[in-house]
Amino acid sequence: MLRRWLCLGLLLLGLGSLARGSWIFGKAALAQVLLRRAWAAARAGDEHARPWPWADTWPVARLLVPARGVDLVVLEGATGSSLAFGPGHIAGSASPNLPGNVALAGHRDTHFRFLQELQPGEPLWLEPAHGALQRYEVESTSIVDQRDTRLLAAPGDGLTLVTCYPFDAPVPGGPLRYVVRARLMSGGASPPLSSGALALAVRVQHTDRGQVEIGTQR
Amino acid sequence: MKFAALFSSLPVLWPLWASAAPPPAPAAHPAAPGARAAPAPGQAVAVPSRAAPKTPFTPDEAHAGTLIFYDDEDDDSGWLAPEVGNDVHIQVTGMLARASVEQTFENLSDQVVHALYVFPLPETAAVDGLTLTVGKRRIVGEIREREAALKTYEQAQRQGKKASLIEQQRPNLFSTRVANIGPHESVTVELHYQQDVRYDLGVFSLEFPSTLTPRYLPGGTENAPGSAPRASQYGNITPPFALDGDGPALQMHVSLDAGVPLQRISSSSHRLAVKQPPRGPAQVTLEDGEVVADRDFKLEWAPAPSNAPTSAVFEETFDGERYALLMVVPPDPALDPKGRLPRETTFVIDTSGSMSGTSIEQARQALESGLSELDPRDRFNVVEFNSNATRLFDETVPATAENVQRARRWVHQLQADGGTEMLSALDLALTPRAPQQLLSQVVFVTDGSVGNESDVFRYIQDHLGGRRLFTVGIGSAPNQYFMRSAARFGRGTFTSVASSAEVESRMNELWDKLSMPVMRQLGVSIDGDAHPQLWPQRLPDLYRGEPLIVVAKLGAGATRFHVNGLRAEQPFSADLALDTAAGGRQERGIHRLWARREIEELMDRVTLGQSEETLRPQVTAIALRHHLLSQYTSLVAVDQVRSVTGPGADTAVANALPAGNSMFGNMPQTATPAPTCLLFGAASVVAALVLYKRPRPC
Repeated sequence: MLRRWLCLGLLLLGLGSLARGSWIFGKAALAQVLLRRAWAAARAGDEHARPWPWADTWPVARLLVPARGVDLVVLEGATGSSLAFGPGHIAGSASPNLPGNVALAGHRDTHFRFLQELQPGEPLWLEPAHGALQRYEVESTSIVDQRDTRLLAAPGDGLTLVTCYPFDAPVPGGPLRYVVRARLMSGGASPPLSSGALALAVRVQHTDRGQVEIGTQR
Repeated sequence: MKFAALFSSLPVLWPLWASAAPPPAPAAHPAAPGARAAPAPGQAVAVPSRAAPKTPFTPDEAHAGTLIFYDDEDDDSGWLAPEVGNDVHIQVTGMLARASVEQTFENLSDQVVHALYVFPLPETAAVDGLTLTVGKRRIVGEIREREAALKTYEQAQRQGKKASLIEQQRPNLFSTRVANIGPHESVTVELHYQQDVRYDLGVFSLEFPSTLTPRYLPGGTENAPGSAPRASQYGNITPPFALDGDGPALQMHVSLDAGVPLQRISSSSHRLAVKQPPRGPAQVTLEDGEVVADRDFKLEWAPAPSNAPTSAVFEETFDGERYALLMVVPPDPALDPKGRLPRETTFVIDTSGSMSGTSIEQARQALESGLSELDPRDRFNVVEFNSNATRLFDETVPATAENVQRARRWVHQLQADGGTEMLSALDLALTPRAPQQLLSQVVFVTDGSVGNESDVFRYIQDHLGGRRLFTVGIGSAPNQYFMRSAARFGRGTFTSVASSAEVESRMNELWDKLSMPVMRQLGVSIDGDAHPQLWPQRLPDLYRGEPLIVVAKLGAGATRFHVNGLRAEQPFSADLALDTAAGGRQERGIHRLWARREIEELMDRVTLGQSEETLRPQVTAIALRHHLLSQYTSLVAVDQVRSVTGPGADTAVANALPAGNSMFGNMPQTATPAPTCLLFGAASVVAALVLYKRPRPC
């Protein structure tokens, strides 16, 4: 009798735990799909295209690593509420369409899990909501304490991606961060299209300034 | 309750439902109800045309995080932002404080730059002077009508002259542009303003907000058909923020002449170095000298205790007219638990995203302290709001131990997340009819990070009824203008809580105050002046430890102030002769205080529905006459010598982030328990199955 109750309790606990874990993954994936609509509005000139009416955030950029099938809508603010839905632009760092260091944070379990695979020299693309597509190249990776924000304020035009470290630590909330530094490359080449990796077809257009603009089409 | 919490954590579902709804629905719920209306799907996308920029740079373009703007022609050569220093001198005389703020801009690059620096001032500040120092020249600014000032500034900029324009973005938010700073040149902008000293519970205090709270503009506010998009109404109010420890520096010098013997001088925000000479004003500076401007500067001073009520009248003549400042401080009544009136209290707590971090903890602490103050004869309710508002009980309930315990548990689990839809919260707090026999109060705990201030004020004015609304400002840089104005429309007071250490003492002062209205039905008349012009026109009730402060424009024959009212339900009156009261000392700056209040009163009428166009000439005339910066006037100073050649590039100087805000200090928290949950879940299920399948031992 006791064992039966124990079994039942254990089963419920297990299912609940499974549901919670799947929910975090599900929300992260689903949100990115839903954010496309807000992204389209943002590209059309809406400065604060809220993905849902009560959101405290809006899309500011799109991060592309076609070779790894990464295509993420980046939200304003790296708060707990925005990071659940996508990578967040760390307030205080340069805006994606402006010179300076652009810093983005993302969850190590979902959107920014791919950071652990990035190698120096690998290309990244950042498409600001207001501005032309920019090409970056991974320069270095490092592991720092969360209180060490010097990398966020690094001089020069760059892109800094931040996520929690270690990637497989069982308990969240550790003090370490994995930081990827990328350098802005002038005169960007068009991003290679990976087969089927991008949900949306990508239209590449060379502008008169030698920069590349991507438009999205269904 | 559970459902509300669930929904707020599942915002992703909402757009799913919206898109699954019948065709008209998506249009009714625009996909992106941002500050600007989003185009309906399928419609041609009309990009809202930004008003043709009159100047090459506006704060609107300097979105959060902007540090540098490059010149278009020169994309590759980078250059550093100019450094900014704040040097603040404040002279306190009685209830008035005059301050001068000196800002230094330095161009470290080899280029000609223009800079924009958005800065906050105390919300009661009246700006009246601007001096621009470039090298050895000093240029003193003039007050002009806003458009005229902008035109002068632009013309100077086009001609390559140095110019500085100070505009009022919001009543407590100003911006300075500095045009054409040559390579390695520094420009100093000196700003003079005046503010009134606060007096509360026997303590005088003064604040200098040295950084800004990022503000939230609600997206759900409906646009009237044909009206301009809301974003343009709210204007340019979000300055860029710098990273930790890398903002403008602050130096503070206060010369304090309180007019009464002092018991102590202290600050809850900074360490002070106080020099008290045997005669003359005390000299207060920061013990650490120069600090990063990341929090409000707060200064407090308490007079030596006295049993007699203190009252004073200060008089001033300006431009042939007499102005007076009246102050009556009732003696502090001894706390008598029997004299406590039963009351109905509705607590409203802001749980929006901007409250996350230490702010929400302080707010919860404040509420819990309020709940523990309740008496079983009282009734109460709790309302929380972020993107939508929820109340704990359908109507106010008696403060039984059980109800209070339930409220405590509810408050304990509140998290900060989502938008700031303040109106729905006020709707819940103010719709139930206030019972006549109870003293009815609303206590509003928020950081005031809201963009549609006018809507909120009007709502309070229209729906307050017999209640009083008290605001409690949380965080290191709450929006004070909003807090104080909301309290004024709500006929209550504003309490500012700067740190966790202060929560308990500040909130206890408030609860003591709320249980004891000291003076009611106040009136002021002036002998020899049949139609006195007074501010405030509607005198508030005085709670424990609050002074009565009245500014007046006097008729020629005015000789004596007469104050009457009810004190502890007994008639009270006082007479104050104009020439002899408080030694009849001459006080400078009262006329500006009067002018500022007069403008505030006029602007309130706009908030409450009167057409802005009819009031604009009146406001402009007052501002020009008293040399004041207002919504319609700007200060502009232009150097007459053409100083630089070559095109200018623009840079926005970053503000330091408020201390305690989760946006800086540490890197963001970026791990979830998801993999662990999955692993643990799978293991548990397997264990359960194994345990169940195993054959019984016998």
